[in-house]
Amino acid sequence: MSKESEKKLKWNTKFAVSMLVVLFVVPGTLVATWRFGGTNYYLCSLLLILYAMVPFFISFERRKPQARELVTIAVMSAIAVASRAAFIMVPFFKPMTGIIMITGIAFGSEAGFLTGAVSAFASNFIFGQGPWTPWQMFAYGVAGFLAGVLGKKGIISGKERLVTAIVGTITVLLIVGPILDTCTFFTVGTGMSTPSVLAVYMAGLPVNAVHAAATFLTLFLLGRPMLEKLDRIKVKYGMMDGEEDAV
Amino acid sequence: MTRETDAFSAYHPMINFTFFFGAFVCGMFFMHPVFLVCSVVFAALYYLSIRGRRGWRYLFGMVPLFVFLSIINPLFNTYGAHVLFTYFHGRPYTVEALGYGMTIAAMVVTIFLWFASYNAVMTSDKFMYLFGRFVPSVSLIFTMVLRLIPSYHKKTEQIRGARRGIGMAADTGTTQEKVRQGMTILSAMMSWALEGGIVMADSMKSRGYGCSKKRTNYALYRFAARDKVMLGVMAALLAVIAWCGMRGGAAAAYTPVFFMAGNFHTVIGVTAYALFLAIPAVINFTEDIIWHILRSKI
Repeated sequence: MSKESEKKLKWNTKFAVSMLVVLFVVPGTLVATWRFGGTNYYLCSLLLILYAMVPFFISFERRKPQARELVTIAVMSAIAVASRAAFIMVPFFKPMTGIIMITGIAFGSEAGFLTGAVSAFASNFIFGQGPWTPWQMFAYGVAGFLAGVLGKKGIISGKERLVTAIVGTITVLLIVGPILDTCTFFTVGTGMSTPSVLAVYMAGLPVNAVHAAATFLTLFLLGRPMLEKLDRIKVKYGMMDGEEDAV
Repeated sequence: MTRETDAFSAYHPMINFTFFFGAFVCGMFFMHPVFLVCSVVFAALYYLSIRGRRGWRYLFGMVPLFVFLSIINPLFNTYGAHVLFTYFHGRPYTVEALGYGMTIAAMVVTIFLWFASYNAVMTSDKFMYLFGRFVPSVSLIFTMVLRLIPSYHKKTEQIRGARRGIGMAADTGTTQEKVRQGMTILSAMMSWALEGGIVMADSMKSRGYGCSKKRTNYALYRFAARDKVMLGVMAALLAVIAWCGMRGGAAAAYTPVFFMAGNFHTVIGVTAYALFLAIPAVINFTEDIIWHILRSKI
């Protein structure tokens, strides 16, 4: 089979699987929860989040990634988790999202997603797993994924540091923060009503604001030097070049 | 730290995980008061059996959370037949909504308690042993991350110390200066880490990573006879619980009128649920008693 048609076939299978999930599995879950779970929003949303994450992991595994790719993602995730240690003297300052986004810009959306998800999972092994674990994996993964997409489009980069920092802030305020708040809402939420939803999101606002400020500063101050370093590594060692790297 | 004699941890990881999975899902599904009391009591009991006396502090910490979540629900949920009092010109605070709040609060406390035990029992190696085979590359990344985090913490401290040595201490000055100092430390740590990563990747490659079709791994877990028995018992109990739940044995409603099922299926369901949740605590206490007897014979 030629490489072209192989690619096409793979794409078709991927398409079929995602269609299957969108058309049957997701509505099936919703109906089943509605029928048997009553108001069990947590379990239902948990399943939906898992459906959203599984394709990333499967496509990564099927690609049989090289040692250098694995190590890069591992190193970036570990830096993202350990980065808090560099800011012990500044309370509440967490550069994790910023570093995940930098990884996304440098190595693409897939690496960004994996770095985000793995970082969240690993940091929960230190600080304790909880009902929030899948949400954190998803939220940070999406931040890395988004940075990868926008970075590829050239919207955010090491040179445009103000734009990058603002995009990072918006990502935290509108995507990462709300996803984490939704988790809070589903975990401790006492039924769907406009005031209760508002209350949970309002309560999350100060935390998200601090988180966004840390992300802004990380991307603004560290974005360029870090991306330069990563680019240098990419050029010097041919890291994350994909197939060309495979020997 | 876990105590060394948590006997339930010594069972096969699959048994550990099945138990917690069942406990989480049931804990989130059942809103029937009797079921909830069961889950809170057994979650607390098992947590205490792991932590010993130190566990009480965490348990007492759950009380304010429970109270807070209970009393806050009626503020958002005004349904209910029995009005306790009104506020804000006639907004009712009802008994039923308070009951529902207590239910939700009990669920949250249960999940928190189960997770506290889960974190002690399901260590990362057990989790990887169970699920690593489905995502070999991701689990390898994850294993590396867990090993790298402490080493990066150490590196960060070394860099901080070196900078202090040249008069660039990071712990004084304004917040702005501290943030800048932190960025410099992080940047240095990152260069160090990336160079190390290259060495690691080359080393992996030169030792043949990616050459063999299937990666092997080694783990010291054996699915022994007692694990088989335990898995059978758990599956049977979960089936009974599910059957009773389907038949409406765990049905309960709070608003607008309080209702809870109290039939044949409720009795069977609660019994099975209590037996299931009691498994790890019973294993631990039995082990304690046996140990006590053995020691007294010496």
